[in-house]
Amino acid sequence: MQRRHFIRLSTLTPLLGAGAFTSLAGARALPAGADAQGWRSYDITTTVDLSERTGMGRVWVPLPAQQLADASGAYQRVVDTRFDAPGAKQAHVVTGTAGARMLAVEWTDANAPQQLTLTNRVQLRDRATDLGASRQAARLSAEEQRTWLRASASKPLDGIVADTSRKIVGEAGAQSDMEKAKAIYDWIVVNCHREGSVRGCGTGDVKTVLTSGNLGGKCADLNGLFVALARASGVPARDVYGVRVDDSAHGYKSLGKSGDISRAQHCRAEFYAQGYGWVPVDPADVRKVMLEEAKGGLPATDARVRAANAMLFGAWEMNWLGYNSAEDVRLPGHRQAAPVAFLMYPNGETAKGRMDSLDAATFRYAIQSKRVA
Amino acid sequence: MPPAASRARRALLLGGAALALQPLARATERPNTLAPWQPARPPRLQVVDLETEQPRTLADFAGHALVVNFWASWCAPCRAELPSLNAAADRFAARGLRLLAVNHGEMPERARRFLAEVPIHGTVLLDRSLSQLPAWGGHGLPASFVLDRRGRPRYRAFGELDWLAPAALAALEDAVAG
Repeated sequence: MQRRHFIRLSTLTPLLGAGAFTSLAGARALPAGADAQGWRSYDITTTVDLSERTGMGRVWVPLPAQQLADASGAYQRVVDTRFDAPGAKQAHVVTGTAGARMLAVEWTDANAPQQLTLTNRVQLRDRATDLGASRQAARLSAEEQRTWLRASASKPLDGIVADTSRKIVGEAGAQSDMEKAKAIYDWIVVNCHREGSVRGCGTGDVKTVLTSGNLGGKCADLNGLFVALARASGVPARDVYGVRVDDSAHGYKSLGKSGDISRAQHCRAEFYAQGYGWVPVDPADVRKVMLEEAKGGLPATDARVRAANAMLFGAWEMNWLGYNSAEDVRLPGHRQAAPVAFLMYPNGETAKGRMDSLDAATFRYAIQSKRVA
Repeated sequence: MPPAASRARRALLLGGAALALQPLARATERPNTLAPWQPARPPRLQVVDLETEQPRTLADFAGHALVVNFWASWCAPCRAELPSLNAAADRFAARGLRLLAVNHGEMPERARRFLAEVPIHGTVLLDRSLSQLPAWGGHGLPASFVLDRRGRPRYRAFGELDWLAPAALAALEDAVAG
């Protein structure tokens, strides 16, 4: 049995190069602040200490996407991934559904600690699309078009989803990808709301959001709805599941989290517009500002809401990192056959059953974010 | 129990997604109401007993009228209906009614912490797979299903109920008599 793992993965991209890693290591002593290109570095450390120790314990922890880029260039890159899983039978990085990367760990000794420490060093810089002028962004391949126009279990594109999308786009007179996406974004901001009683980030079940009668939910529900409505209108779109890693530099206390980020998971969305490439949006965060930024909530006319509304169509503040855009994710080796709707939280199972991903305290996992440069 | 108007505003919670109680286009009956229940197939229950950690099925409760109530500790409407659900279970216990409280997806430690604060007057069962609620036709929490003492499906309710309301008591009376 393999008793101990301490594996360092060299995930440096060609863009970064080995020389850059050396300078990054040296930058740890530098005062905090983005570098000349706007990059900020973070160590994101996930610790797991399975509370329910049996002869079979497995976890699947999402890993940051190695590189995220749009027509303007990269805005996320992973510098280094390290993990230590003492007593584990096996621990390895797996690339699953739609490229979703995860660390899969298995323990078999019920009498030994079943613990994991995983640290990802990531570099992030803010992302914004110039919406003023169409550019010559690379065209989406036919295969990618199919992938990001496809229905999924949580995002059916027929019935009420198709009807709603057609109504929104028709009433707005939207023709281009950009116009359709803007009409859908505006409709969600005006008509949907963040529902504080929803657990975690919601289920992402967009049909339920539309049929519930109150159009409430959290990020996976509302941004998932944006994605589904966009796809139904013929605009390629996808969620990006991730986690907030820092406070917002724009002063929104509701749109950032640093330190203990165990419950700071957040799903964003992007759509593909001809000539622009992938365009970031986050209508769910507009509604979060309205609900949470000030006690008693803020009206749509408040300057803070209007600023967020303008910012979040075309830009993401990268005080957040993205894991993946996968839907209906199969966890390799999981005893339960049904896929999970998305991979944004640590998942786990023991001989006694599935661990509750949304209950970090009982599962016993924690995620810490530390700004290192 | 909260007043009826307040209850009507409560959310029905679906694995984290809140569903407004009206209108529920996917539901064929009104929420917060016990409605006749005639499933296409007889329901099956595959759960684990919180106390004994042993698998349990409906066969373990043969001969008893049953209320199968799906709940979770984070579900406020579930908590809100428990006082009346407990009282109704107590009222009909001597006539063979059993309350099976199926926790939806939580771990034993979390369920035990909740029960230390809010007792449930029945057998607490765990469905850690999250598979049972949809298999029974539920799409939100709380969800309740009533079977008569012959094991026949009789009523179901989506959302929080006042189990001491005349209609609910009549339904339970029907189940224990069945």
